[in-house]
Amino acid sequence: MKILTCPMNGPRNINEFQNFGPLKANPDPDATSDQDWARHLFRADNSRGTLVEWWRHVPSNYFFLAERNATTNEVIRTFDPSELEQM
Amino acid sequence: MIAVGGMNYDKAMKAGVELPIRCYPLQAMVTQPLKPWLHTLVSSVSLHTNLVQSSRGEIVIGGGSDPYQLYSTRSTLDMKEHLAEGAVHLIPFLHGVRLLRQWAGTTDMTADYSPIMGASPLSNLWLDCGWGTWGFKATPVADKYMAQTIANQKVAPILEPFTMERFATFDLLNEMGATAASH
Amino acid sequence: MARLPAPWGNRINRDAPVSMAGAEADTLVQLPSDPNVQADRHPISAGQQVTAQNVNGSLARDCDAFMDKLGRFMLVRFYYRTFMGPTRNSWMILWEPLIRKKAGLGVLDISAPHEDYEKVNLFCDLLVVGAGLAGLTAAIEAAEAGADVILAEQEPVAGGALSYGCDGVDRLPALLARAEELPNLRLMTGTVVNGWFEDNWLPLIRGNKLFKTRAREVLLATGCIEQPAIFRNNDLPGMLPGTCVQRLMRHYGVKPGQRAVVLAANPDGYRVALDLLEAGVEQAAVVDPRPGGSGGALSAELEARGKTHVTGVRVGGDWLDCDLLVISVGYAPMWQLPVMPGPSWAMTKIRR
Repeated sequence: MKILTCPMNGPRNINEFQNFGPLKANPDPDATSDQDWARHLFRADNSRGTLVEWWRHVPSNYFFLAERNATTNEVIRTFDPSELEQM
Repeated sequence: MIAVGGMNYDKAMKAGVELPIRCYPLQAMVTQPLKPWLHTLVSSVSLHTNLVQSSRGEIVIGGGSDPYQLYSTRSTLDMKEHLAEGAVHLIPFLHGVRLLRQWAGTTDMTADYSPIMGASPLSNLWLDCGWGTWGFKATPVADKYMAQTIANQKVAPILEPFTMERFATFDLLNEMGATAASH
Repeated sequence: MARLPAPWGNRINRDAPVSMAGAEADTLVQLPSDPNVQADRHPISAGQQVTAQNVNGSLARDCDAFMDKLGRFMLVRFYYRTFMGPTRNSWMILWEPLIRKKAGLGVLDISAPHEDYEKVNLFCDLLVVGAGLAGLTAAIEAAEAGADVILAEQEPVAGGALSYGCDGVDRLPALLARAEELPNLRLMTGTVVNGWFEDNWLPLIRGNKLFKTRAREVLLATGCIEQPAIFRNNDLPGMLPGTCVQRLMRHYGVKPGQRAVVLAANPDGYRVALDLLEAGVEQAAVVDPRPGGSGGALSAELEARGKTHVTGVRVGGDWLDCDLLVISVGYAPMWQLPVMPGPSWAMTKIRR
């Protein structure tokens, strides 16, 4: 089984985690057209390169981010959401 | 017409069309050949497992997709255990049967687990994508209507609910034409 | 004995040669509650019922044996081209039921008794696959350096070629004794490493037990499997790879034949010939196909004679009577494990 390193709980089997799909920018619901809102909901990064994704460690209900290569399945790094502000 | 299974997203991007698709591996496995005794497809929505015995005698066991998007066609022990468990739940006397091989293929999934058929934003570019579930079973008849669509330059009425505009107008299909146990 | 073309499964049911290494599908037999059992891997027990699979009648008088003769007409994709007619739904009502009746191998017992299966988690610093000379030595060295080692061997005995060959066999007892002394070296015989998944997650199977093993490092010492020589009728019973002959004699105490021809294209072939002499098997000839060897350019001229069992071979025009043809012409690496996730992965892992 693949191992994912949780920033809080350390390396754990991947079946302890839930994937929440690629990171997206949060649009302002009041200032966004219906068309852009639909795109925000149903479109996601499906490239073959590196994805930045939301994951959740289910037993501890901790959400974090992972950079993962969508072709080789290699996890490049995992980090706490607070690091997003520094990106 | 774009109808290249797991490659649909890439091909459409080359034409500048962004499909609301994410690619997931779908795994399956077969047992050693046995004298045919199962002449129907057995599928369980709750166990996420389906079984069919091929005309070679191998029992083909398939089920749900991997839990995250990926282009690699590696297979996993987790899925092998899950499918074996489902198969033995459905048909207990399969417990001693040996597995011959396991594989994975790339499937394209839409937000409502239903295919995208019909026109694209470009003229004369037609879509037949998103068959992550039910593909092998439903495409022959679906494409009879796709052929009609292209010949008449008008989406056949039966395909209208499956056009890509449904994502812009929030008319998602409630898993119509799909099953919880993909195959 | 019927040899059916690919869609029905390849010539599985001929009483064909064996490797004694579980490397072929020709040895599959039916046990009452267990179809498709590899006969050369299954320990025999008193009163055990064993029958041939996928024969119409018996193996010796198979009513479907005529299919052997049709093989040359059944090309690749034969299945799809032929069974579409004569009418629109012939496939559904005529051909498919007919093919399904002939398809498959063993018969599944739908009243098979309940059995218990166990799953165990194992962790180690190093998993060594294969307990031959290389695997044993590596596992011992690693364990002596302090690593937690699992050494998995699919055969019921450790030693690999040292357990049946005749070269260097005296090294085995000392190696096994050293391995036994190490508490951090776990030798698991009769255990198949069934796959190699991401992050070194490997299923080890022993009987009804699955050991899901997380290894920090994996070392493959899986050795080689002998390859057949290519000539006409080279799949008749009585033609055995050299290592198979040695396994039969040293593991099972079976004299593999009365009069042998040995096809030897490497030193191991000559060692097998010597082993056979020691076992009292008469030698018709040792044939070496290499330039400068006794057989000359042999493979095209070597043609087997006999319908159900080899009765002779022709070497450069002369027929030699024999009931055993030993073939020792080369090896291929057992690299199924690294190939499993795809060759590119295998290459990077191997180069690492």
